[in-house]
Amino acid sequence: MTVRLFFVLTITLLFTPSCGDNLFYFAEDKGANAVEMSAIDIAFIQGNCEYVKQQYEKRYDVNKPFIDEMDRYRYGTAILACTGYDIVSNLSFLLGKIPGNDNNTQIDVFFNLIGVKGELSLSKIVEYRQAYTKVLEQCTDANITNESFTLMCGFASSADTVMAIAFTTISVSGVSTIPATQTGLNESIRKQGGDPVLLLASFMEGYGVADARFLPDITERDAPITEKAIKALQSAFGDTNFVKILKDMNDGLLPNESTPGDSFIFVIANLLGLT
Amino acid sequence: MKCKLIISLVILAVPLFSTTLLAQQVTTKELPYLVRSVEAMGMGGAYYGKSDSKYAVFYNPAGITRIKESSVDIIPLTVGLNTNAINNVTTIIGSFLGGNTATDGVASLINVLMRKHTSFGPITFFPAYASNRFTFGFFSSTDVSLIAYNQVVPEVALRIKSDNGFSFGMANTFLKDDALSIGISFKALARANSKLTYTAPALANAINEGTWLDDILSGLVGNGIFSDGLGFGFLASVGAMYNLPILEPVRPRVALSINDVGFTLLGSSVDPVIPTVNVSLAFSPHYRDIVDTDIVIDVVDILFQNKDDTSFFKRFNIGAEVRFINTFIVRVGLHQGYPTVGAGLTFKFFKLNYAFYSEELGAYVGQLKDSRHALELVFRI
Repeated sequence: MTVRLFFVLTITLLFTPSCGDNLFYFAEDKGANAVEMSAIDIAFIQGNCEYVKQQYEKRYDVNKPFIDEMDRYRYGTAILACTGYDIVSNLSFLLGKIPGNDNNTQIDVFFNLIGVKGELSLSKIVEYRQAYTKVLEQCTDANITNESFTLMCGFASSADTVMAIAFTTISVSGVSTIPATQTGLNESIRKQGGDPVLLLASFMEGYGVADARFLPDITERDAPITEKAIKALQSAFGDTNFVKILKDMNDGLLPNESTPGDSFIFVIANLLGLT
Repeated sequence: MKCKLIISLVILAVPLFSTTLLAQQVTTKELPYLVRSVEAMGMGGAYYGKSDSKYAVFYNPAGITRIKESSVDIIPLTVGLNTNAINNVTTIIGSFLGGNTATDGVASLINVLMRKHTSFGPITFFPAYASNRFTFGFFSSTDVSLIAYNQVVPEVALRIKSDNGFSFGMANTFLKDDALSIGISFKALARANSKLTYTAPALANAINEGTWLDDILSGLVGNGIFSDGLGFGFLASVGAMYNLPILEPVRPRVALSINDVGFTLLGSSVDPVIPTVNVSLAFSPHYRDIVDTDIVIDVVDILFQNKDDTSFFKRFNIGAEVRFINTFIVRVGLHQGYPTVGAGLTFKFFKLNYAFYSEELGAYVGQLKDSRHALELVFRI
């Protein structure tokens, strides 16, 4: 009898797991501090941006840079991912656009990268800008050593700039939404009798320098980024003062100028090792 | 013009990252193992109360006394891989063989691997002699894993761990009716670890320049025996099993093993060997000399010596093995809460075992499951 009982138990063991994916999931203590910290690592790998974001926001004041550089990197990456920034999924789109480099294509690609399709509303911009501002707070450190971290901050800075321009455009044009393309931005301004170029100059004066963040900010303080960065600036622009370079570029570039070297698509492709 | 400003910010960043290998690796939270048995994996990894094979030296040396027949495994090969591996590798190889350039291959690789853990292992070669008093053998067991992650700044992490060495174990029985078994085992271990994290351009560069193999080898043996990726150890394990004098028909027993205590000299990037204390409760009912069964309940590392992992249920395994006329074998189990199944065929000169199981890669059970197949083929005399 006892033997038969054990055979029944064995058969039960065989079929019990089919009741759920993991039998002990609900019994596990997932709230323990050590478990939560380990779980962030895994969530980062899984691309579970919402979990990573929530955990850091629960633990830290995200308006101040965290002490640990890797924590800042993961939090910033999670924010960008949650706002839709996705290079990998847009790879075929990017590759398909490489032959046609022009400004409209570039800004369109950018909106695709950050997941903005169709129309861009004021409320959406506010949501994005708040997120990118948090990332840029985490980027504010002259001694960042992780190069992927610096790159992520560059993306956040770019995204923040796009959002700022879009915000300004919507404010000036007086409409609640605009098409999420560069053409859309320009036409929205022109419909109201505005001039996109003047608007940009005005924007740069007010935002690009006075309210500079991250790269302009740290360069303005003469803080060393990295030796490589200094060399890159020197090599590309003949100067290491970012603010001066920014102003020169703003003044010097023609609106429709486009070469592979300063194509956004080209840059992304280069990042992925595809050039 | 506004585009140029946006672009310029990104351009500034990009030249910095042309061929970067990241210093800090993102890792999963799989519990560490030395050498794993396919039989054990089929029954949920619950093997510390059974251990009736040459693998006793890695589970519970007292189990040596339960080995039924002396044998010499001359061609014992185990190959394991996870369920993503076949699809992913087929896609990657197809991309390269299809005439795509290396850079296209990198794009394909990243897309295919993104968030999908790919693993090969254990790939084990373990020739050994085993009898019910002692066993010795040479072992070589390698695990390889690969994963791409981070949709914003894509990275690919590669990990290789290879354990190689010599094992020796012996055991004896004591008390009336051989109720108590005590065993001890020794292992001389050489461990090689290579842990690389490539950014996307670094990976493209490594493939284009053909330096990826050099990267791996330099991680393993960059500075000879003093490489950061090499380690050596002399480890001992002791184990005991005691047949309880109750419920005679199901032959209950308890088991305890203290594993992998000893001396190690490990490079800075080598995974440590963590000593563990493991307990087990097992039953072995049999039915008319036709059907034999083992039911085992294990808690591994019960003292939580692996301080990086605090989950209890990742340490909890249950398994059962049913043998029909000692030839056809079926195994089932629960490994870390995930179901496992296994099957085996045992003949005099030939043995075949298969297991399907899932390993928890997350911080707690149910967070990140990795399902795997393992096949063991043994020719023996």
